[in-house]
Amino acid sequence: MTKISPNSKVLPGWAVWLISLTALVVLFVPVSGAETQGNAPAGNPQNGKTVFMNTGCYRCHGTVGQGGPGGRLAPNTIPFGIFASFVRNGKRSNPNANVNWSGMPPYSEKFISNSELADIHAYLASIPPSAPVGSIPLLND
Amino acid sequence: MSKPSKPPVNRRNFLKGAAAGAAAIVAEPALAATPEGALPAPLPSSAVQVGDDGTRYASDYMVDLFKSLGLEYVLAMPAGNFAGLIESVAHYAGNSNPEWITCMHEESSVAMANGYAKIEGKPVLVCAHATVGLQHATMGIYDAWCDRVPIYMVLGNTQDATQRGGYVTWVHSAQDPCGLVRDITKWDDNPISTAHFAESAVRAYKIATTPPMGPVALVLDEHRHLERVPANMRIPTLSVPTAPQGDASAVAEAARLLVAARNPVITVGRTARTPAGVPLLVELAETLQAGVVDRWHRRMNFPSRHPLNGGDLNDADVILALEAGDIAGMARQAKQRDATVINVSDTELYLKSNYQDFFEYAEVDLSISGDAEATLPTLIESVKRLITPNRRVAFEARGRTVAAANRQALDRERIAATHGWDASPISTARLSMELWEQIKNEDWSYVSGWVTWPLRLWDFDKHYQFIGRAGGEGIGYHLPATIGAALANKKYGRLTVSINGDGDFMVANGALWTAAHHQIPILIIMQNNRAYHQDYMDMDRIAHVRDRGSSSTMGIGTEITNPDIDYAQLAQSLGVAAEGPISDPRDLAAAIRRGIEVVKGGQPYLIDAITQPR
Repeated sequence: MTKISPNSKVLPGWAVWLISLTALVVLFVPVSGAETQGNAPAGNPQNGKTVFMNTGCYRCHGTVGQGGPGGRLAPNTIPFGIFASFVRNGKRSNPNANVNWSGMPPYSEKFISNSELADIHAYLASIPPSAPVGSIPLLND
Repeated sequence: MSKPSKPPVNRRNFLKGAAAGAAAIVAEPALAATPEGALPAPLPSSAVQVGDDGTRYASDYMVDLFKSLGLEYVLAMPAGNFAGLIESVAHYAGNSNPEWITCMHEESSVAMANGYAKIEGKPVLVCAHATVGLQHATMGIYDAWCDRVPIYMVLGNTQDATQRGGYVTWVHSAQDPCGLVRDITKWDDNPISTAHFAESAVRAYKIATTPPMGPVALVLDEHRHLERVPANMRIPTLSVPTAPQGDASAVAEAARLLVAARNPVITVGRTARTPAGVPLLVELAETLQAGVVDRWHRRMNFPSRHPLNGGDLNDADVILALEAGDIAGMARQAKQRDATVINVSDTELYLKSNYQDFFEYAEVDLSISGDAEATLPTLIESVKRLITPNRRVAFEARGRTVAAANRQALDRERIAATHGWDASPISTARLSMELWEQIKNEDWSYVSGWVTWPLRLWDFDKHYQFIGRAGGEGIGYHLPATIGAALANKKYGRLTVSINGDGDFMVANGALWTAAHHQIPILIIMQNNRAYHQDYMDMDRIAHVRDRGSSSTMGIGTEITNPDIDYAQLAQSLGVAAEGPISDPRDLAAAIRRGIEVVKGGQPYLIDAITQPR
């Protein structure tokens, strides 16, 4: 996953993330147009949460997909096709590295089946919108 | 002790005269020896205890020597080969200036000295056994070396083979003890007499505190420090050097480039070496109406809520890097779009070959060797001289643009903090803001760099409010370094707070006992993610690149579970009041309030918070 530096002032984090994802889709992954438009297969969000935790996705992305060393995944998660291609192919954070030892690793079907992938996406899609900044006093000093 | 025959130089007047008489403005020295800026007086506060034969103990003399250097504390695990020094501090100096602080690991001694120096701007004395103690201390020394922090070490050794008494003394002796750390110290010496020790002690202090600062080490011979020396043996006078400044003509060229630029951006790192560095940087930024980008947060350089805090390096046509560390990638990108990079750094003034803390070679357009903070006054004056009314108008428009972008950036950070706000385990954003809510009206000092949310959302405007993190990025720095920083903050009555990772904490948690025993007030909040989390992510990444591994094996070697460590009980066993584990974010505020009450009473307090991984 593209690392979003906490101090990055170059582009908004979501923009860096989206540009990287889009580039990946174009370059590597034969996915249908319908999927990239967001027509996700039906998934089980409860099982998706279990897989998200057991597979260690939360280690980089947080237990509710809020982001961390890995980018934010929820709320407003990305379309399934982009999500799936990203999980399957990973993303090098250092394009000059000989091996992808940094950034998002690829997860094959050995570890996340296609149905589990749909479940994870369903879990992320089920995460409700965050409270607005204005409703959190601690963020309004 | 004899006194200097010449009247002392009035440093302030000397500096004032130099500034008035030359184009360059001389900056204040790195070392703030006293509030008045005077040199430390080479006078003992205790009555010299002279024998009938006109002699005194060498270790008593050494205590007066250290006192003359303004060393407030000795941080050390005890060792037999400097036992005379412990005895002299206790019974000759009355355990005051320096006061002996008992540490439970030499790495902790050095890390505490590191945190202290970054708050106070000067070193304390670290004593260690020259073999086994120094071997423990090396990681702490490396952190200080990479972080340009002055560490002042005295290492006990038994040099004379005829005086070694058995197995332990032999295996605890070395021919060249400092050889172990010569790659990561600025200077060392192995004096052969007490007079030699005195001269080297003052020289070592001067070298350690001259930018680029760094650790120094002196060997103290066990038998020599137990001897008697002439009571009137003189203590050499310390003359504090000025910091190296950039060449005047190069600085003038930098000013020309900055004033002519469409969008200059300043990038910083260890720029504000002293509190004086912050207003200087503010003055330069405001004069140019240029944004300031701090990518690595190694010091509190620039007020976080200042309208010019932040800038777009990718849109800069001139970048001014001030002790900014690793700038090679940034310089490469700048070159691709024909932007100009000016680098002011003292890096090339003192380097060694082995450890690679000099980073990738940066191709810059104007490289100015000198200390950034010391160079700023000259640069500011040069910039001011070149500004025309038309340029001023352009600057003001630019400043408004930068300020607007930075307001938007802060808004984005606040939105980012909302995600996972009510999650359990507690999000690090929530943890940070719960802490901020309780300290924001206090005179606070955030002395850890483990969690970055404070740097993104809190209002930093004082130099002592942040001291960066481990220069060498080694694990084990944070707990003792933050306690050392708290030791320095204690006399100012500041509320010292830190957020400490669990993996780091377990390396040297004996430092908690030191905080309890010496009543060092600090609020420590554990960011307990029950893992060496960076390593977990690394291992996970490699496993999936190799297309193997499973959820049941992914924690091998990286998780800190089974059993889960009870940090509150651990702290309590070391004499520190504590509570936790807390995993519900709604319970944090009350716990932090309880902790602050204890800390304000002069004691340390620990809260174990179960958090999101990052």
